Amino acid sequence: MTPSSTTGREATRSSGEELILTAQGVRRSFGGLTAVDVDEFTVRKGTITALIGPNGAGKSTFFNVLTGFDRADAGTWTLDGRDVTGLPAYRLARQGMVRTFQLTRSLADLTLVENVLLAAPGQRGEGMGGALFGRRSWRRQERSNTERARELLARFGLDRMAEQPAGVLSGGQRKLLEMARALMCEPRLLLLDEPMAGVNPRLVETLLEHVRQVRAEGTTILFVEHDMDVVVDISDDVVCMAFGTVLATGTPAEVMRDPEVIDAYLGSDEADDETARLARRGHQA
Amino acid sequence: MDLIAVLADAVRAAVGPQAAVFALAAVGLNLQFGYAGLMNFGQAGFMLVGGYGMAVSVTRFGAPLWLGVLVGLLMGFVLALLLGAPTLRLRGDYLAIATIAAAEILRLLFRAEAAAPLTYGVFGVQQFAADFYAANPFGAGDYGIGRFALSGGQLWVALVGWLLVAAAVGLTALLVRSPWGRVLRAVRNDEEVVRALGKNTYLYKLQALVLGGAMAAAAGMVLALASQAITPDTYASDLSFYAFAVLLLGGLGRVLGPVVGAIIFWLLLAASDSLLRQAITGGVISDEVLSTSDVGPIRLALVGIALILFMYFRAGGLLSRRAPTPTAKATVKAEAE
Repeated sequence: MTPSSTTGREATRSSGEELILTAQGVRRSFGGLTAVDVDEFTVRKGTITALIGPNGAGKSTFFNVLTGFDRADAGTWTLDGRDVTGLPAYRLARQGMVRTFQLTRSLADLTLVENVLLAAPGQRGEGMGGALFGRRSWRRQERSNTERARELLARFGLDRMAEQPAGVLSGGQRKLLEMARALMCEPRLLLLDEPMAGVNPRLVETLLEHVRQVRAEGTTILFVEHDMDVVVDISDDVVCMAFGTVLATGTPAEVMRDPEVIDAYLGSDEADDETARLARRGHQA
Repeated sequence: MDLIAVLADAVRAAVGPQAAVFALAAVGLNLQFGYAGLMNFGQAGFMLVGGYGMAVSVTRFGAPLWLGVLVGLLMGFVLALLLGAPTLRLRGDYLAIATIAAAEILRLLFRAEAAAPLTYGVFGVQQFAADFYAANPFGAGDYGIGRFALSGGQLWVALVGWLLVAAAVGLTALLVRSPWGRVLRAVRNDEEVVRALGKNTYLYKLQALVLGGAMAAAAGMVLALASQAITPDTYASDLSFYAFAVLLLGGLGRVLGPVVGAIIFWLLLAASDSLLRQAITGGVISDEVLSTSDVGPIRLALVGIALILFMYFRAGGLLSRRAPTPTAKATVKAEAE
């Protein structure tokens, strides 16, 4: 982190602050346990934003709530200024908010190219009627989609296996496939759930490079990560969660210097109840 | 022993109306389970409402047969919606429980005394198929070569049954090779991923359930027409399980799997039946060991053994694509490096 890049970032922040995602008062509890209680959360357009926090901080639950895979008990959230609170996952995806999963999920019986093709938006042969009676129309569309799918596969270095079932891929390759598939959806906001988890260290750099490139093309990225080290190099903004609430927001350098954040990480890593308690109290104060 | 007779029995069964009925029900199940991964254990229930929708319309309400057929299809459609709408948002197990229970409830309801004014109770009804047989172009004589023969009536039902199978297979082929079918196959793999990619998976599952249910309803009608009678107990839950057996023998998620499966199923069933009966009456098997009345259950056990062997040696059914072997996987990985 050089000081100049930090000030650069500050400059963009103070100039036109366009937010792609905002969330207010989002709460989700399971029985007596409040897993998520986020007063305010925003993602600036065109950034890579990292949502970090120790295990059990509520990151994934929050992520699931935002993407329609879990319901919220309270709160509202908007995508690009439009209220999308409580929309089902598939409609959020159509609005440009596309997520991946922590445990990579490839569609093992489908070939790689089918995996990516599946994600193409607005397919005319996707309805039952269109599939039967609009063959000429969807076949034409299918050809151009296939071309794009192959380009995406090539970009992620998977083109040579395009016709193989996705089940044969290694864990790291599946992550790449998942990213290619998500990009086929033409997302405005790409949400990556622990994209580096369980990935061979050699591949992490490749993945990060892909994430940077996606940002360069104008897509905003929000990713969940519990490993702070991964976050530093790549993120523009970092949001740290602990005990279901947002502890700190800012540049990576700011957040990592934040004593509460340090406490939260130490507290959880060493299962040190006292630190955790202090961190909690510190936050409330 | 007369092996020609055994062969004749087997072939007759494999091309006959029964095989067409099972193939049709299994084509529907293939769409549901083979492609969409939906656990429908109540195919017998869909067949029941199809058969009864037709028979009751004709006999109780004096409807023409074609209208009865439409009513039967409509009932399959409605049953699928009733079962699918509340359960398809939940985990897969709920559909399985709902369908198996619904099929049994329907059978018990249709044989109940209280429902008899509409459904004719336990003994069911005959004489609804007159219009169908009146349209028989083959007449009453036998057709075929030597002992490989079907009566004109049987041939007519078989022809209609297999034409319906062909239509259902054709429809399945068109659908599963379209983007619609791709979504369906993806749903079977991992529904959440498909939702995350912007597809309303609930709708796809409902469509598959309804379409497969309508095919089963048609199968139920052919079954009723073939025997010219309908009773509730014909549609017991073993019918649902035979549909699964047919599908697994032929090949899950293969367009022609159910057809091949139905033919194998009836070949096995009829050949073992004929063979055992001959062996018993010919004294090859002493009737102290096995009597002719044991043949019915035994032949089913043999089909069960065949199913087990298939699962062991060819898990995807006869038409399975060969699963990638470990060496094939290794070469793919090596290429990737």
